Amino acid sequence: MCDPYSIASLALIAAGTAAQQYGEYKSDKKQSQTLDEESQRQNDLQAKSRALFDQSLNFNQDAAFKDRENEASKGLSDAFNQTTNAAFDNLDPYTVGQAEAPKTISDTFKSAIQSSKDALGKQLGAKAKLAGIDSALAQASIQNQQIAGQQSAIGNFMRGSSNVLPLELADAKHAGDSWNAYGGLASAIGGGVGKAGLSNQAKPAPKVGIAAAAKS
Amino acid sequence: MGMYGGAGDPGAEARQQEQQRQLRVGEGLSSIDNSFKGFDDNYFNGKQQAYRDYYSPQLNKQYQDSKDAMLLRLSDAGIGQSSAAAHGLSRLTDEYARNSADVEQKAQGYGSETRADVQGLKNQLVSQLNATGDSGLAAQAANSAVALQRSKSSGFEPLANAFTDISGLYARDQQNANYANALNQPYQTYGARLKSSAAGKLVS
Repeated sequence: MCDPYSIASLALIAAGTAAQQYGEYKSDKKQSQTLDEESQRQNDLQAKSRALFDQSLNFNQDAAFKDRENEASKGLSDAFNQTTNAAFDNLDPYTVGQAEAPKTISDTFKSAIQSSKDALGKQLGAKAKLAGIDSALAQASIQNQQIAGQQSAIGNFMRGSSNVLPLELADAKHAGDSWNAYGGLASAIGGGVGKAGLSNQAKPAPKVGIAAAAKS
Repeated sequence: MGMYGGAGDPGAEARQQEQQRQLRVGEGLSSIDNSFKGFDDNYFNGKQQAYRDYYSPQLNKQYQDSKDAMLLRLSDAGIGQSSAAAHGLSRLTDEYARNSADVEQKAQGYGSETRADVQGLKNQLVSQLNATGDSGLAAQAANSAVALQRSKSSGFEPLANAFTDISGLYARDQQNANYANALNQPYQTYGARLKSSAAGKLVS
């Protein structure tokens, strides 16, 4: 049959061990939670960065790029045609002394003008096509710069958040400290109680009963 | 606070500080965006138009002057109504239209360059903001940068002579006219004729 000391000792030691284990569990859980939270923050920021990257990819994809190139080429081509037409159409024969010229000369004048206009139209059309890609590249560069600026801020947030993690993990390691301490205390007390119980068992038992009473 | 009475939870404090820093950076980014909102399509289109407004009148004047000079020379040479005059004027106008197209292309290029410059400026401010995390400083720097960009000189140089080649054509026309005159003068010396003929050939 167990004595009360032993029972108390075992109970305290068991409680202390359980408390320490719970303390470790709390610490592990807190560390895991801290890692999960940081992982979530990084994932959220990564998702924002990825969305920007996708936006950039969409902007730079072949079809979109070619659309912008064609649009820029067309815009320039229209502008070139306008300037060319304005230049040649304003060449009034009356103001350049050709109006009253013999028909041969007048025809040469008209033919030279038309020929120049046609040749120039073709050249400037080609130039507009060449310039279209420059314009599309310039637009892409500006867009990429803009997105890079936003991504640099996100990258900064990711680094800043990540830098805090070691400190948070260090905090999390101490999350079970109270339970560990109380558990250690309980175990120590339990050990003490156990020792006290053993000491008591080693002492001779007091003589009680009829024989002792008769002796006295 | 820890159970041992330490200086609190350093991780939690650091997290709070980081959140505040990110908040400040976010505010700074908003300040930069706000300061730069005036740099819209209208602004850059205005820059393109400024380029056109500066160079087109110069080009138009040069063309008009060159055309007048050419007509005068052709008339003086008595070939105002000639195929040479037709080709000369056509060539001059061709050069004018080509230069007008250049002005247009450069105007659009200038608009794009300005747009890229502004974006670069904005990115510099974002980098500074990322480094300092100071939204107040970012707002101040953004306003200064915007003011600087707006007051920046265009750096436009006056248009160089766009019709140099055509000026050469006038000279040849004149020489050809002299040559033609020399042929029509019965008492012209052989030396004078030779000198004139060596100067150039008829345009057509």
